[in-house]
Amino acid sequence: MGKLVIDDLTKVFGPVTAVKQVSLTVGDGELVSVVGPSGCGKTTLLRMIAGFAEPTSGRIMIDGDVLFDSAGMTPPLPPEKRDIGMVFQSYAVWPHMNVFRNVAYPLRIRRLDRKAIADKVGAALRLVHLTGFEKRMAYEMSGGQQQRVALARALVMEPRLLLLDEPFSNLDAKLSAEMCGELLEIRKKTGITIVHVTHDQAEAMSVSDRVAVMRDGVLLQYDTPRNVYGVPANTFTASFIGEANIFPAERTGREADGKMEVCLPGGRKIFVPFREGKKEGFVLVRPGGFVPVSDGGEAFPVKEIRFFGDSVRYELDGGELGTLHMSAPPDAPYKEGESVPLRIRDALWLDS
Amino acid sequence: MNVKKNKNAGIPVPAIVWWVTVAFLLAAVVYPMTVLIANSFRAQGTASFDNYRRLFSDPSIRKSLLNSLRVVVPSTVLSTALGVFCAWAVVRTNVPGRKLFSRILAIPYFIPPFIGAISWTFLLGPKGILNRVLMDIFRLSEAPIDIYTIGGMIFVMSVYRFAVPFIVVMPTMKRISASMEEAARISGATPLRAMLDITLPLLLPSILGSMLLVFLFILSDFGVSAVLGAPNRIRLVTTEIFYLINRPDLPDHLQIASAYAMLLTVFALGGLYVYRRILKGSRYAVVRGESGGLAPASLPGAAKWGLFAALCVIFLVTTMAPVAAACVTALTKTWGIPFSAENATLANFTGLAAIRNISRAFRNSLLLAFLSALIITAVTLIVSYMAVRKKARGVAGVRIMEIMVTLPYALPGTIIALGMILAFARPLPYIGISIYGTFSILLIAYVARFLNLGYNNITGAISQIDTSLEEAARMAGAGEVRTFRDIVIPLLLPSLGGTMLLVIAPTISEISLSSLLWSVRNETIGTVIYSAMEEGRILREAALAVLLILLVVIVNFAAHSITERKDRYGKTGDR
Repeated sequence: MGKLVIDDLTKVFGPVTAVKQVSLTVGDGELVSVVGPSGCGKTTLLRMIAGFAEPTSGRIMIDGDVLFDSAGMTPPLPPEKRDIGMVFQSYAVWPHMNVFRNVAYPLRIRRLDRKAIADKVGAALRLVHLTGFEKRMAYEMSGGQQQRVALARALVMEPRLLLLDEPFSNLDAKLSAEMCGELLEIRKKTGITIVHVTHDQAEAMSVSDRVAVMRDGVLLQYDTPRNVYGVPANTFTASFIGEANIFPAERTGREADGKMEVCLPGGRKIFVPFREGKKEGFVLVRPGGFVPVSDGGEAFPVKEIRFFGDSVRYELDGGELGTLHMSAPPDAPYKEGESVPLRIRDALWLDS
Repeated sequence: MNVKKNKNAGIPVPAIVWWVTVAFLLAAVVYPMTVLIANSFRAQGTASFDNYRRLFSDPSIRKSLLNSLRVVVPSTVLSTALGVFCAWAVVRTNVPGRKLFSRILAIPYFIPPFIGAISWTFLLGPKGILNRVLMDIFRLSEAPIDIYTIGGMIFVMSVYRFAVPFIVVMPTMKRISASMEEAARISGATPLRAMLDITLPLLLPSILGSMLLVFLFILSDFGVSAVLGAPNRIRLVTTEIFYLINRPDLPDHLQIASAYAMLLTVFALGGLYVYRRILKGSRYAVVRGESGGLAPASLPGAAKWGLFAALCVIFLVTTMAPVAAACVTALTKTWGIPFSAENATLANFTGLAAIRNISRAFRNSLLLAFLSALIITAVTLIVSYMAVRKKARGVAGVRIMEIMVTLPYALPGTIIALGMILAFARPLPYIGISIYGTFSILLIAYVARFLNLGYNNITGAISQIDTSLEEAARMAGAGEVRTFRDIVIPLLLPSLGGTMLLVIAPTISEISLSSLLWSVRNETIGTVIYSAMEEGRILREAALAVLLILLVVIVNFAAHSITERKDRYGKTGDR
């Protein structure tokens, strides 16, 4: 249980269309991240699923139950009837209740008996590693701990769906990585369906089964992290997810072996995998798509070097190609100013 | 590196100001209160508990205690209920004009309650405008409503004091993050349940706190009870103390008054203590609000307009009606006849200038207000800075300063004045001159009483300035004094102006201290209004009330526009 279906969902705020005809399906037990720059409509989408914002049109269903349907006769289901758990960006741990009472609240609403509440709260707190914190108040806890309380509170009623609204944005990098790890662990243990909104694309890529990329209210791409990175729908997705070199390009018309020739700025001609599409477009090269070669290849001078431990990023002066971003293993020690002869190994044609 | 000698090491000005303030508070507050305590235990020249026994045996005193109870409890409850209701309507519903209401419903807070009481007598006194209208409509031979009763006091006090919970609760209500309630909704709570389980408990400290403030205000009120209690001799604790002080025929009258003042002090300090405890216990009252405030509930049309009508009535009753009544009365030629073109005159105003003690009162009050504002602002600038930046006397010293500053403001003015009478009625030892019956005793009393306003306001403003701003100036080479002059004072300038006006407003309309400390040649606006009332000169009383309302409105308007401008630098290092 826990299959979410969103169908042609639109939300209009006055003159602004925050979400435009978004359709997506989240399978039972799937973890989906919705990413995009701020103002792209991802939070509005989440709030519509939770029931805090009413869609202008469209349909939302979980396991066949209609939560909202603009065409149907039933009024929208209020948030308290949706059986969804949610972790808020500000955690929203109630400051006048201790940890136990915070986590027990959804169960008290559902009138469980004392024993069942104690058992379930205990289990939820174990899940988020907060056993022994029952009596603490919100102001006696760190941000990371408050977040765990919020998570336990969302999980304790075993909802059909868990919504996470930028849950890690208020934590420092290390803690955020730790919480990501725990989220995956919790998911493995509970098998719960999760929709996770974030502006941190790295976080989305590393935890999700599928990533939904949004811009200006439109769902641009909905695919596995591997495909979103490897075969982005357009230049926006390509540069939003991971680092990208994007060059304006034109097809020359020559095709062979499932490849086609394209012309880059400066008259450079290369072969890229064949793709249907427009005559003029773009070529995407990921930083790992450039390979230094010992013979032949055009050489570009190194402008900037950034060391990452397991790899080194070089910024090269590409002339009319602009700045080139190249990633290389740390054993290729180029110096600033040195010219590196390059070949493009992996490239992808993008229409827009 | 050679260490430069601090140029200002010679004259430690801040430390001197600090100690002068301490000495002043000791002389003007602590010493008089000590004399008052000592006097309360003296009867017929010997130490005894007789005065305290007297409190419970004297029927007049017992009656006043009971009256106080009958006024304070219902009006505290009523004001709080009304204030919270208005705050809820303005913040949490889509009532039309909520922005405007959030401002105009706060106006009663700025109207001196005794002026409010006087204005209501023009409406509901025996010949009051509203009573006359009712008599006409229902063909009654007598005024149907008598404002000079316990009920009248409860009504007038509630109508003015509801603004306190309104002003206190409204921002807290706005600050509660919407996600607090949303988290409850997604946990399964209905909107009503979310309000009862989450919002109400979060608001409770601020509601209870404002309720205690109202309790303290009403308990120490002198003006309203003096105005409304006089005709039917209904006396509350403060007015009974006032009455006892003015009865030299009664043996040990000041000592009995002192004992009664002690009893009132216990109540006032008890209330203050509980208030502080509530504030302290509400560590969580500052609720994070990244996700914005609670969305106002959309009421259906009928409920929305019903609420609108209710707020209009509240504004009409609390603000418009009494002010209008005062204005109409002030423009009337003959009181008791309906207002008309023939019955209108400006003589009530123009005549005032010719009355010597009244023009003197205006001069005195304005001078007193200006001087006390100036002294308080200058002193608290330095004292607050030292307290906030921990540059003075350590934590204990700051605490003692805070208590000494708070005490005279928290205690009823009547008690402070009684202490001063007891302490300074006789010539000062060694110097041989008496400050009693002079302008200076009024100034001293005002400064002592309202120091708290300056201290709180400026302390708040200084804590808003991030220390890094001062540290940056120090790194740039400015010394401590230079930093204070170039960085701190310019940043505080709007707050300093605001503080002056904040002090001026209550000092021009002061009544509880002045009614006991004034003397011929040293009248204040409050005391001449009170005299006009006692003499039954209703038209003159109305003209004075209108002028005072006008003054207070101008000062508060100026204060408001200064505080609005405060934000011109944005938030200075507000973390």
